[in-house]
Amino acid sequence: MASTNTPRGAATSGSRDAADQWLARVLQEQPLLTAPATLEERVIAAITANSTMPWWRHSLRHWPLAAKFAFVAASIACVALGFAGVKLATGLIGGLEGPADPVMAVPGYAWARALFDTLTTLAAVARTVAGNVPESWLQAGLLLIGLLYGSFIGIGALGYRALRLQR
Amino acid sequence: MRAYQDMVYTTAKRLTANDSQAEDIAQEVFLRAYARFDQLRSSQTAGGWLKTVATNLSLNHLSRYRRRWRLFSEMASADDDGPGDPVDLLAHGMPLADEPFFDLDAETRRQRVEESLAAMPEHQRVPLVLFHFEGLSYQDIAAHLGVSLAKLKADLYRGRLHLAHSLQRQED
Repeated sequence: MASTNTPRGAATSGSRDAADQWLARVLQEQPLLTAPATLEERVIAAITANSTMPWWRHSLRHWPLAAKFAFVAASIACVALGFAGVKLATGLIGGLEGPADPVMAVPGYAWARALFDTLTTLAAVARTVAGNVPESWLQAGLLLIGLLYGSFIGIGALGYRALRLQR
Repeated sequence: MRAYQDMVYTTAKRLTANDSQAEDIAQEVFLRAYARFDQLRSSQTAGGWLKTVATNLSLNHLSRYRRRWRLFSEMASADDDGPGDPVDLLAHGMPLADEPFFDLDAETRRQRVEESLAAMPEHQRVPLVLFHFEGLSYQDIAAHLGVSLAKLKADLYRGRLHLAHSLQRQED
């Protein structure tokens, strides 16, 4: 504010107003750009494609009422099945600890036992490795990850500046 | 559609500064218009509706893009802000109404302005386009862009300087 009280400030403010007016005039006289000739064709093609698309590929808002109801019912059924699945899985994992769980005796659940055994083994291996690796290795690993991350950011920034800012 | 396609495309093109993105946005605008054709057919404000949708879609597109590239764009150098000290610029002489720019033929002037606009950094170009071409108020632009009024005014000011400087430079 103080600068506008000085002769230079007044001159600057006056020049700024003149420049603003000049620019406003330049921009005001700009005509519309011409849309590419392909735009109309693209819009018509998209409308045609939309109209020939089967109803189930449109958004839910445009589905027939019966299909909307069926979809909602199926969604509720899926959620209920999901809950039932979680409950069953919880029961299975609890049952793994007790060898006499009758559910595990059913042949259909053998895959769950195999999966659980595999995960338990992997966790044990990870614990053993983490417990025996020297601390300096861990520090070097973290440093390497940091360097790779920094390189990624650097390459990204370089690519951005080279490709996007040079348009 | 023919009556409005240039307007819609121009809005999108000036905001995005990208031909193919502008065409994609214009297509989306007309598809949305088609979906509510019954309402728009008899509306006196169809043009305004199309322009608003084109503006909003362009800004949405830019904000998605901006989020994706924010990290990298913040690493860009400070000279992306355009010309430096405004007082320096004024000392070099801003182009005024009697400058030779207006001696150029209209098509050359049009081309130069569009090129200069497209070369501006987004944070200066977008407020400038919204203010001068879309006729939005400072408050509306600030709300659209989610920036403070002070930042908007600063960006607009620097944007005008940048554009004027760029047009002037083309004279040299």
